[in-house]
Amino acid sequence: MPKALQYKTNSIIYFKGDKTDRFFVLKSGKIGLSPSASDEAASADHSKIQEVKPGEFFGMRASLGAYPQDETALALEPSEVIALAGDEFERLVTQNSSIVLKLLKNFSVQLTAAHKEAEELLKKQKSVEQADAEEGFFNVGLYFLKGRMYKQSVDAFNRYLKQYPNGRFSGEARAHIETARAKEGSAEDRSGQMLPSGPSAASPAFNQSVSEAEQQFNEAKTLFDQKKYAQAFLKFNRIAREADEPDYAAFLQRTEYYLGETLYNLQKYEDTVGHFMMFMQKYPEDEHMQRVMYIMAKSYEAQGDKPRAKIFYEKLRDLLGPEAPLRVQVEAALRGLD
Amino acid sequence: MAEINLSAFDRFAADYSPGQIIFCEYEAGDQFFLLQKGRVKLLKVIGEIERTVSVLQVGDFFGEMALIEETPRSATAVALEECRLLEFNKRNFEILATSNPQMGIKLLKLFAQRIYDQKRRNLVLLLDDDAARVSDVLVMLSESSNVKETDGICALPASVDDVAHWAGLSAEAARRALSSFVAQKRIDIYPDHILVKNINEFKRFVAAKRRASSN
Repeated sequence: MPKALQYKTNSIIYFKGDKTDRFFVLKSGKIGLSPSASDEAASADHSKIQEVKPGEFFGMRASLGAYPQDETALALEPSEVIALAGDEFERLVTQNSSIVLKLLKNFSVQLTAAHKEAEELLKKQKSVEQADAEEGFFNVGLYFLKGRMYKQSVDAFNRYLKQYPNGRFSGEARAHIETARAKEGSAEDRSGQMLPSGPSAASPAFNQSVSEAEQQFNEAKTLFDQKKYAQAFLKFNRIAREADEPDYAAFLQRTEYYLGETLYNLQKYEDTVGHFMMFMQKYPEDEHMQRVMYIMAKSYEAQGDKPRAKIFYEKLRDLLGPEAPLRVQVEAALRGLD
Repeated sequence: MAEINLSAFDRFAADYSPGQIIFCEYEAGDQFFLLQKGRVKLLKVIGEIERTVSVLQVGDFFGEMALIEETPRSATAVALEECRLLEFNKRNFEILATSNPQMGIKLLKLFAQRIYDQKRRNLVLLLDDDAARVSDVLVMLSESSNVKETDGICALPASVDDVAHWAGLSAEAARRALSSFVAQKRIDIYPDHILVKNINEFKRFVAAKRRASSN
């Protein structure tokens, strides 16, 4: 059963920053929402207070999204508040669909206000260039054209012309459409470049680059195995930069792992740490994770950062099974650090 | 989206082929989309460079600002593979919202998140000096659920241009602020991410700046 709570004047329903999981509805009385975090400030300064009337929900966003409350809610007069739990709220919504619409409308108002506030704040910045909308739109078509994505460029310019049939750039747009149409489907057309990894066309151009990416990776790996770390680094780096091309993207994860190993072998410990920190976040399930953590620990040790080395040795130890050969080394390292 | 049956909405469905544009940045639009199949990339063009805003997955909503007010699209949306989108406008949005309670609550959560994100971004812009803004951007990025912090160290998937964008600063101004942090050995800048050595220092710095400006 939803609880009905009684509040005296100036008493607090929740503070700004509180995490709540209830959905509050005002049954009777008057509630004020204040941006202040303390009750004295909230009850003292009434100028910024937003009022809640009977029948209205308040404090919902925080409970919906598990965020801290944006405002302090205090009773402006003796009030009765109903606090619904998540499932009670859901039941209410099931029985009464107009509530959802009313709340969505309320949220739209809030989102619009937040959006407008952003625009106002940005307007004050003279250093930020604001292209006007028409120019920005035309520029999208230009970007695709320069990038040889002809299909997209034709589409973008057509949309521009639909919105600005007599626009400042309409003549140019029409000319570009002609140019792009002529080049669609040609060898230099990169309209397919937005696609995810994996060869999707059987054209000779694609087949060539599949073996090219694989070739590059194998060459880089060979250099690595030969301990030619500086050269390996350059080659792996180049592969990583090409990762927008679908055939290169297939090698990205392995390449990033080897880049870290290479940096470590080049004794660039700070760069190793920076690189592998990102790697661990991007690929938490990578097969080399134990080795990565080991390298992180050793890199910190090499930099003289014992506390951080310890953290990574401990993380690694937690990952390792009791029979793992690496465990002996890790335990020894931890003893050495204490 | 396994738990919500959307077959009732087949009449709102539209298919897109790989590489097809759904809408352009700056284009006028009144539709709001739910991705039912495939993946969609949102990107912005800044001068000659493209910046990926996000890659949307099945179950994601986008374009909702068009429902709320007449505003040009804030990014270009392109289908990365064969996609099926459900398209709604103001009139038929109510049908979606009231179709079942789970959908209603899902939409409420979506809006709640958008409001939270926008308000969080606005907090950055309320700060007066560049260093404070850049610091709060780093803090804001660290609050994201896909960033894992270990003893204050975290890797933030953002470039200098991304930081400039969130901070509402020019690329040069953002670069200057970030460079001084690099010189102080507080961060390292990599091509696709920024490594923060201790995010708590930045949190304290921002908190102090906010206290100073409210006094």
